[in-house]
Amino acid sequence: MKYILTFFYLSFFYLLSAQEAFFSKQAIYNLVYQPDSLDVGSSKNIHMELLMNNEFSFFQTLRKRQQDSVLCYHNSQSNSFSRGGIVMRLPSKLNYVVKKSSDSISVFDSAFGTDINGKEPIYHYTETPLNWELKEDTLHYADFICQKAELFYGGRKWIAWFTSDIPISDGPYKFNGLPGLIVKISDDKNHWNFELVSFKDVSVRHTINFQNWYVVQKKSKKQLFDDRRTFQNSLITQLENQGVNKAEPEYVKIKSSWAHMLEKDNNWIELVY
Amino acid sequence: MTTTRAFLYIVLFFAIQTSSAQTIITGRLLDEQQKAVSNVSVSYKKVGGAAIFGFAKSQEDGSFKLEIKINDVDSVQLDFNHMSYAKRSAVVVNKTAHYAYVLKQEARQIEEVRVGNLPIYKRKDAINYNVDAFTSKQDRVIGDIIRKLPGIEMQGGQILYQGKPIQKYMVNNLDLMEGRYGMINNNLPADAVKKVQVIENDQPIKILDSLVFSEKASLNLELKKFTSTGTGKVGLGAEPFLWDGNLTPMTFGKTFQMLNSLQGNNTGNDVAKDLKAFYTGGGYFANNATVGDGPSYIFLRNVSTPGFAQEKWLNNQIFLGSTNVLQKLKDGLELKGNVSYYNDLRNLSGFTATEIFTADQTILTSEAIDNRFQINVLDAGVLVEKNEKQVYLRNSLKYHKRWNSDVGNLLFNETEQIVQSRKYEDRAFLNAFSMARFIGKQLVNVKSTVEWHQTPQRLAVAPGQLVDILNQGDPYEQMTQSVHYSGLRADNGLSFMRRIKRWTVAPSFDVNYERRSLETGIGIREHQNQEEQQLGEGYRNDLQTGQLQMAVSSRFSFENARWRISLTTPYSFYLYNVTQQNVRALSSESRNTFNPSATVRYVFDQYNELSANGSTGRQIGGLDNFYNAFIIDSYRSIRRYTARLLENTSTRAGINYNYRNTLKANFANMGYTYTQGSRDYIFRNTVDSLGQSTVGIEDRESANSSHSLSGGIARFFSPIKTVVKLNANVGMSASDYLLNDVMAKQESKRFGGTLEIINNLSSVVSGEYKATYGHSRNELAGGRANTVIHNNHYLNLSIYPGDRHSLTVYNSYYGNNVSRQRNQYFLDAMYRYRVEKWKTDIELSAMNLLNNNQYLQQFSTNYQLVQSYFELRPRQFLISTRFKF
Repeated sequence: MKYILTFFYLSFFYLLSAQEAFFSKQAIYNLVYQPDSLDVGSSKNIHMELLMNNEFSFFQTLRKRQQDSVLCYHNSQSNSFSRGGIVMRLPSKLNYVVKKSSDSISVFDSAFGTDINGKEPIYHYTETPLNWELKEDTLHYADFICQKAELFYGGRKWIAWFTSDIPISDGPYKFNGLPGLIVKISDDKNHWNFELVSFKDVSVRHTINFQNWYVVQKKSKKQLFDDRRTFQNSLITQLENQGVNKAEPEYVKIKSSWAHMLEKDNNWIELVY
Repeated sequence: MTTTRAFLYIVLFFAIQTSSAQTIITGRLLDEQQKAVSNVSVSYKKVGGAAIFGFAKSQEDGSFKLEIKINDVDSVQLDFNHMSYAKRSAVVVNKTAHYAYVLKQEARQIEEVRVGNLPIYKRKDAINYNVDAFTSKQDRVIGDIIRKLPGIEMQGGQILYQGKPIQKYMVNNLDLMEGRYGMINNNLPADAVKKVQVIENDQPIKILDSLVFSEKASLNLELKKFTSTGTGKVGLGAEPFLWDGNLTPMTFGKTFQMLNSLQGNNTGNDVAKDLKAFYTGGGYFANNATVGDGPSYIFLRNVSTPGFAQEKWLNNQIFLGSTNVLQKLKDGLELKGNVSYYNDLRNLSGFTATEIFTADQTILTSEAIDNRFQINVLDAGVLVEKNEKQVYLRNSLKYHKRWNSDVGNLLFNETEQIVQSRKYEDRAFLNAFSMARFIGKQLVNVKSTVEWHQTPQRLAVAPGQLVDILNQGDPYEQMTQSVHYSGLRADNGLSFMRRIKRWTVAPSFDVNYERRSLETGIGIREHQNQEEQQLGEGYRNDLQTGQLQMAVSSRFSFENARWRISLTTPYSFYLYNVTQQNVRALSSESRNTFNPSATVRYVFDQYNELSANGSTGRQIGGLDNFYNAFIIDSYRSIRRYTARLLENTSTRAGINYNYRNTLKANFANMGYTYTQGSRDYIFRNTVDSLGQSTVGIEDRESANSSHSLSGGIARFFSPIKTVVKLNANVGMSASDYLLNDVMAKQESKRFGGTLEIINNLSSVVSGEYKATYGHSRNELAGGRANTVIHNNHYLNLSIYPGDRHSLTVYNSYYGNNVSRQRNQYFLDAMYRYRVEKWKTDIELSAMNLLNNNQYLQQFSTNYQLVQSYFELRPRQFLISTRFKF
């Protein structure tokens, strides 16, 4: 039994690392989000892309695809990149790839970047289908007629506007399952806001480049968020364990501003998991 | 578990399944090669509707299953949607059934989209507000909820959406009250309503759908169920004896609706306002279907009423009854009927000091006024309407009768006691007919309106006034002016409309005829026991006028994604006939007018739009003033005119910018308007040493012009649940006037603004603050100028100490710049307690706690400055109970 499981795991891993797909449609969303729920001024914005084909779709930041291919190229050329070490920086919460198909939602998320050994754990988990509630409100957005739908998810109330003029049952992040493409979705406090910027035909060949320092692990969503929070909170301790000079003024400055940064990072996209 | 029990459970299970009336539609989807198509989005909605009610996906084997959750329709529309297949729709009966459909393979071409700089072509957004989400503890009737909705403003009883009045108020998609929606808005319990729907750019006339673009919005209330409901109120109070009652039951069924109301009070609440129609229905085909009152030529001398809440000053006693019925027949025909009557006794008292500025002197008069009005109004109407896609038919028949009996007691210059008695009666009939249908590709509309009035009226004043003009300078006992007016109007029109690609052309032809007759006479009684003598020539009118108008007009409009342009070119030819005391004054006198107008609208994107409009033209008027013998219009004013037609040329241009973001409830607008006019006549005012005036018309050119700039913003701050509205305006105008034979120019400059803040953040305290400021300066001949400033603040605070209690305090502050009058501050309060067991409220209200008894106003006209005191209602307490059923 154990050998069969290992075989499946390895072939799964192999399939993943060689996962190449062709995409024929691309939607670009502008994400505006507020990492600190108490400070409107902390708002940031970033472009995200949804790549679609007839079977499934990938959702990630627009630059991730570009970064991955650069890294892949460099990696194939030499081993000149050194990874590892402790970096005093909050891990990015947007370093994920969401793969959605008509009957499943699965996520590959980098929990906390590369660890001290140069390995990057990628947590892989699946989601249950979403439970939308259709509303009767309609709205014109560009040339589309959109309809409203609401969802309680991750501790937030999400309000989505979808259009059946584009009969693709998909949308940004993990949001799919409506009878049309989601054109705009935000939570009721307007802390996380995805808005469609463009939709067009493309011809993209993309591999989820599981770089060879990725370690894909099957986990649960709760483990991902808990481990990430623990990592952030324990970075100072890790540093000190590595033998940093606690008296050095540089270090004292870093330590106090780190506590401040942690406090302001309180508004993750999912509040309940 | 025993077998019998298991058997029972199974029977129960099936029983439940069959007893539920849930419709389940199942089916299979195949492609043209008979292979199953999976992953197709299957959705259902109301036939022709925009919103999807439910959806499912087809499985691997092409099968799908939909549970239909709407029960009030006979059929639903299924839509089958997939990127690789052509979209397909099917209308099926709303009953459990199984279907099979073939989908045609066709790769969907979706145009490349770049959002952000694309304009909205059709703004048919329907916004649904869930009433439960907006209801707070204080709300009882649906009007309390509607005024809070974003984008909605209440002006008096009228509902405005984005600054424009709504064109329809419906309940369950039926319009019972035809514009008199105050009755429903103020009496329908809020918890009977499930949703408030605002439909933008709604075209209620189905035959015009996609032919005529509508700028206005409609409002529809969706009730939780077909029901009979209503609210009632009974109240008693003191200082003096006060009472207030209201019983308004209403029924809203699927095809039948009815509203009855019995109301009465003497607390200063003018409930007759709810009988006023804010729109007349008929939309684009509307044709003057309101019965206006016949003209009144005689008036009691009155004190100008304060410009604030009527409840603070109106001394009344009103009884009102109204019945309204709507029945929708199977073939789509709607029948509506209504009858209403009210009787109102009003008392107005005050004091007026007037300064009249002539070129060489200033005349001062003072009047202490105590008037009693007795008003009766009866209205009845029947309406038939058929509003379908292929044909539109509407016929409205109305009867209106008003009869007033008023008495005015006046003390002039603190010495002379004068009594005025006025009787006025107006009986009127109106029938308005309109029909439209397609003949080929042309839309043809025929309309006809007939209106008939009989308006006898009489004014008696004792002791007699205007002695110089009427009695050679000798004082006398009594003067009487009697007037009998009757009028008949028949307007007929034929119009066509044709749409060619993006252009619409609509020519129309009208033939309108109007005939009026005016008989007036003045009687003098020298002494108490003498007979009344009728004055002769010069004081008696026998006027017959006839006006025939033939008009031809055309409207051209163009519409595309960004532009909307419209040009109207109306040309009219008039024929006038006038006979005064059997002497022909005008014999087939002809005039013509050409009054073109144009509007242009440009849409930048979904938020911003710019519009401009302009018009110029000529109006011919003055038939109303064609009497050349004297008519007394009030105790100290008498008029006659050198009869002639009056021409009025005017030009108007304006530009307007509008911003709206409905998702965030932010609105802004800014506009500039310029008007310029000239007349070939001027009203001549002559004032004698007693302040008595004579008005005539002189053949002199007079001109007027004005500039006006206004703007406003409204913003909803959702984190603190506060709406802020700010409006400002600036303007100046100039006009010519003639006083005692001297021509002068009056110039006025004004600026002002309003700020409104409404907060609903806390569930314990909520408040509304409003401030209005206005500064207006009038400059008259001789370097005289006067400035009027008003500075008003209103603050309403509501406190909810517990679940059942609420206390509201109303503060109003009126500031002014009148030297001898200090600023006024009013305080009112209301405490409400809810008795859950009986579903009623007990209300204790106190009005005018500080017992302010007089209100001062100041305003100016072309040649006079008036300062008046008005008597307000004293401090009063009222205890009342409100209930709903």
